[in-house]
Amino acid sequence: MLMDKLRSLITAEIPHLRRYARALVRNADEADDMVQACLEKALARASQWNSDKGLRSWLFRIMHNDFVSTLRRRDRERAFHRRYPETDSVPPSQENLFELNQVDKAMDRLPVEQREALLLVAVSGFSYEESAQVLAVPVGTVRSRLSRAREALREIMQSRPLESGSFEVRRDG
Amino acid sequence: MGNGNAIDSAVLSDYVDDELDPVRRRAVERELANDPDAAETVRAYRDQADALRRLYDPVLDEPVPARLLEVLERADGAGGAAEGTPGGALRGRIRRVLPTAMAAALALAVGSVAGWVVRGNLIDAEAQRIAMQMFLNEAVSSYSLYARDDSPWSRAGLLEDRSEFGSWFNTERELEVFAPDLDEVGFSFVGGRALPASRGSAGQIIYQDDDGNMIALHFEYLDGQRPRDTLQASRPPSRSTGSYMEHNDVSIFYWNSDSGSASYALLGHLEQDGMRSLGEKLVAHFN
Repeated sequence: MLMDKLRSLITAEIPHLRRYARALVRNADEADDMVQACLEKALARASQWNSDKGLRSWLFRIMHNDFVSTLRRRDRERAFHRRYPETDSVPPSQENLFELNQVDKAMDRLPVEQREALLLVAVSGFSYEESAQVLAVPVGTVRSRLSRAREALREIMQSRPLESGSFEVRRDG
Repeated sequence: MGNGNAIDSAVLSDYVDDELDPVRRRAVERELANDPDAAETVRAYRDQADALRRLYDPVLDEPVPARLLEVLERADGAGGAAEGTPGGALRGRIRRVLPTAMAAALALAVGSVAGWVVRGNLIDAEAQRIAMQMFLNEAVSSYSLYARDDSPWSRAGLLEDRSEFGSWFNTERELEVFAPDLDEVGFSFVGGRALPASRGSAGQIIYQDDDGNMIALHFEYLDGQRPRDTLQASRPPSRSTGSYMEHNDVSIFYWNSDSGSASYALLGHLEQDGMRSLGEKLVAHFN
């Protein structure tokens, strides 16, 4: 009975998990792999869920941890460079960033910490406090990552205004 | 941050995210009024967030892949129990946190959302998505054909009395539609017409502002014999708040009614903010 309730609660969160995963890895299948792993872990750890913290933050935290360890495992060296030098600098742009889906390429240039902070707050609608819980960092860190992400993104996209030229609502897979 | 802004960009970020207490918020608002650079930064941050949501929000409307739902189905008791999760412990925790009435209300709300994804309505959700694409195609064609000033058909079949529109459309299509009054937001009623539709009944209501900008509200109601219950269950509630998109030079704000039996699209050449606020007004009118 209670498991049923938790399953319903988790099911309702799937679209939110998928949106976040898709934004992080940009490949629909890979993103759904992440969500699947997250759901499996969440159900296995159902007893650890502390409802004070909110189901969504808990699920996002599981997925974030998985994402970070996958990055580490897959390419330690690259992960090292992306994780540790949290710089304000952004590689110079060679592309014309005037298509909406170029925003996602611009996002891909951000250090992964900044990208996560921006997605959690601006897309998933988490507060700074909740984002800090998901990422397991102090609120001040979320705040500075977010601010740097926005400044960097602005720098990348400043040159051209955004347009969406396509009628199709873009959907992968 | 070194570019001469009086306000630190992190504070502007806090402001955009509504993370400031009321006193500091008012202080930032005062400064923004006198600092065009900072105001521009705030606008840029908001545009970023908006672009990101336009980019990633469509994922929310996608049908959930079966393999993800299967994870939850597999967990039917066995998973939790095998991990040593006695139902009693979980029950105790939930009961401690949620008062019973609230828990019941929550379960009810979640049930209706979960029903959309769980009860095998994946095909419905896909059909719904395609229906929305078709509806938007029709809305854009009709707009281009009839709602532009230079169209030879701009007055064709147009009923120009707002108060009569509802009853007239009712006799035409056996449906009650009340054309909203948009005078207070600067748009006056030009006229309305019935239109052919691939499913159900459609129509178009046209408004114009003082500068001659025309906007069209395109609507479509499903036939009575359509399986309304199914459609209702197949749509996530978030849909009814509306979405924004652009097609060539036309801005479009579109949404479905809460009941799931009607679709609406507002089309025009307005800026996104203008379209959104007008669209939201119309969502409220029709729901």
